[in-house]
Amino acid sequence: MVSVACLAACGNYSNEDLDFQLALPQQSDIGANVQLSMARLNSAEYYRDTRNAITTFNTMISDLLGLIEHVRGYPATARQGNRRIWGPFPADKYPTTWQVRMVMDRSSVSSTLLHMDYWVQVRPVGTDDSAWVSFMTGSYSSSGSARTGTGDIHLLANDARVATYPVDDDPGLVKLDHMDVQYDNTTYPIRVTLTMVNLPDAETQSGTYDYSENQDGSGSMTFDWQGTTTDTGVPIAAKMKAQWLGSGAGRADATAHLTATPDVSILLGTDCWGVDTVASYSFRAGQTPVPPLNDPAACLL
Amino acid sequence: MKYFHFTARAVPLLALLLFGAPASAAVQHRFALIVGNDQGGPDTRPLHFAAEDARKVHAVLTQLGGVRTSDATLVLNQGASEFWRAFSAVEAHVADSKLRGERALFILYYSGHAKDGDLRLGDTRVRLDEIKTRLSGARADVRIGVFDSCHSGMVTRSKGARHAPAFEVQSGGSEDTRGLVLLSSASADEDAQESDEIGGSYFSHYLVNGLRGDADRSQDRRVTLSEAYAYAYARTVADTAESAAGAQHPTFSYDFQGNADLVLTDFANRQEGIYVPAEAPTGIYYIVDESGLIAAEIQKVADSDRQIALSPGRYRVRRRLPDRLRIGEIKIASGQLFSLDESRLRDAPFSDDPVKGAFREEGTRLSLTLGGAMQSFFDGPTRDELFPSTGMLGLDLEVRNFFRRGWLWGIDFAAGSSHGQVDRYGTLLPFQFSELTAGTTLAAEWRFGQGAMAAFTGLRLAVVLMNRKFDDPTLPSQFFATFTPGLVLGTRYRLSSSFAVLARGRLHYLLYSMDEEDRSLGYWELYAGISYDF
Repeated sequence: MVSVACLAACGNYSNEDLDFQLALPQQSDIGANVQLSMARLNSAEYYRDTRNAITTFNTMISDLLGLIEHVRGYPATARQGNRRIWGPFPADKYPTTWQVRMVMDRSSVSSTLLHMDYWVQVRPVGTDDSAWVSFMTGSYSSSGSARTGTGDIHLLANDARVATYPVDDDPGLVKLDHMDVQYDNTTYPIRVTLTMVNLPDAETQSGTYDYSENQDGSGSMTFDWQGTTTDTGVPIAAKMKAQWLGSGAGRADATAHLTATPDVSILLGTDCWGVDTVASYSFRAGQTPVPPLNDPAACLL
Repeated sequence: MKYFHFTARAVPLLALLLFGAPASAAVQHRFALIVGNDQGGPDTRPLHFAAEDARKVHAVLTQLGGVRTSDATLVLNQGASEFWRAFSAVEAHVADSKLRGERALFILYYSGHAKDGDLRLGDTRVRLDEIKTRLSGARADVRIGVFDSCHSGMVTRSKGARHAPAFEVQSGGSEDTRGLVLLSSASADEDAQESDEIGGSYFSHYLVNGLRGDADRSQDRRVTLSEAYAYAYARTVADTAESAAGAQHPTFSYDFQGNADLVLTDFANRQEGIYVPAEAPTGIYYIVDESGLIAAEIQKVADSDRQIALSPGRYRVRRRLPDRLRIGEIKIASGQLFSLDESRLRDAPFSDDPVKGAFREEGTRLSLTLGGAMQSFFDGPTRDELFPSTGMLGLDLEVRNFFRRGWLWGIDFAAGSSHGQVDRYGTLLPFQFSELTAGTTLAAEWRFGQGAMAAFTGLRLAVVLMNRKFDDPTLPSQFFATFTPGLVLGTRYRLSSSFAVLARGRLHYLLYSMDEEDRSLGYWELYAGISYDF
């Protein structure tokens, strides 16, 4: 049937196409993969906070990668030497008014290294190629194999917003200026840093997730909020650094500091938990530790 | 010059002699021009055994007929110019012989198409009248023309000849016999028929069989022209009487001076053959060669021994009884006469009949072939990482002799799969490769060995759909559909009238264009299968 439809040679049977698809990150490449799936009613508070932050992180990564799923899942629409183009397709939510496409360029770095740049772009239906606006950009450089290397992804929400693309219809993008992801999965520890920068009128100026994963399953996640204000209007920053072992046992420390004096921070609290996620040690600033959670030696990290 | 009519419509076989006997004082030098052509040009269907019949006549004349190999010219499947060139060459040799004071005999044998007064030599034609004129004018003392072709009786009709079981000459007798004899395999309005079972035309088959000894009614170990004709006539009429085309009646005419019989073959001093003693049971003994064709027949009558000359080799003997066969195997050694003892034969059911018959195809034949193939690309990197070598199962549907005889047209389908893996920047990506093809082939086919073996070559155009699915589920499947032209070369061996085995090779060119770049490349395919003819 396909042959009849083509009436001539057609198809996507190409080894080169594989390079483009291998260059695109997957959830498993840059998502947090930690042993924090279990939660109980009596799980440590900071464990639950850590778990929620990782879930949020993975959700954002997943949403971001969702924009390029079409590329990995479908053959290119056009091939132009070292360029592949997917689309234009009707935008999922605005099929009659907006189009979306993805462009990937391969750079000739060397015969053993792969470098790709890519763009997800939108434009109003009926406009020409000059109207394409990049909604997301990214790049990737392989190291060792096609699937290991360093890369970055940038979600340019405000650029699209300025181009009248209805970015704010997505609740997760309201007040977002841009979001940047850097990742390096060349060797362990795998590092992924996700930074969100909001518009100036947002309640929070920015947030950063810094994730690290070791081969034995241990890892860490630091999430940092900048620009929150105190009740009296003083801008402060809050940070939580969580660390865990491959077994799932871990600890988290919450700190805060004035934006104006980043080197002077205040420890807000510490939780340590065991494999069962239940707190083995707990400290809160201004509160007296209650036995048996008052012994720091119960912390494995 | 005397003009002799045939007279023996109902008389027994010839007793009188026609021509000068070999014992004549003068040396008789024999020349033969033997012509066979399976093709008759437009509006004729190719014959299957004309060339083969010519070979058999050539063999019997050179083995038993006193024609030296150097004096026997065999012209197979050639046109009119080659025919006349050979004819003139024989005439020149005859003239040289006469200058040496020899008596000369010139035998012209033709097997092929004839129509509207012409011999059809492929797309060319030769007028029968012109041949007769040239034969009549040839300097040979005796000229014999034998024409085994449809409507060949035209060559004899002008002399008032008719079909008859034998011819008889009434003459005062003279050793200086001179003249012309013309034999035809059929009347002017009859078709000359071929037989699958005997692997030749009826007339030529019996003419050769008679010359090998079965026509020797006088039992003098020599077969004369009249004996051979009488035998061929009787057997041809008998065997074709029940055929769909009706009985076929050989004819003759002659124009002679002198009166003596002409010995065509002499096997008195030739021991190679089969001897059937007088006490052996009566009946027809069929001598079947290793290809399953009847090499010779022996008509054994009571109280009379028979001998027939045959080439060395292994044969099977068959005699048919009302309720069973008597069969046996014999080996004729070089220079030895094999005496057939009845004890060498055993009873066998009719299903064990050793006669297979020639595998001749009449009309359009439809066949279905099932088989397996191995396909591989010539280019190593392509074979290793793009299109891996693949085993395939195929189904072919072929129609032979549809557009024209000897052509086959077929459609084929095949499917196969294999495993491969591609290395991209150090990442190994295993995949499952699968392929579907549908093609059409137009080929010419040539048959050998009485039609059992055939070779064919032709062109094929196929549509191929290739697909690969990666073990990595995040990578999409890839496919490619394209046309692929190619060459086909193969052979077919027929096992029976319905089944055949087939071996085939293909060279193909895959039209593969990707990334705006033409990457077309070649591949080969080897196939073996078994086919069934409907």
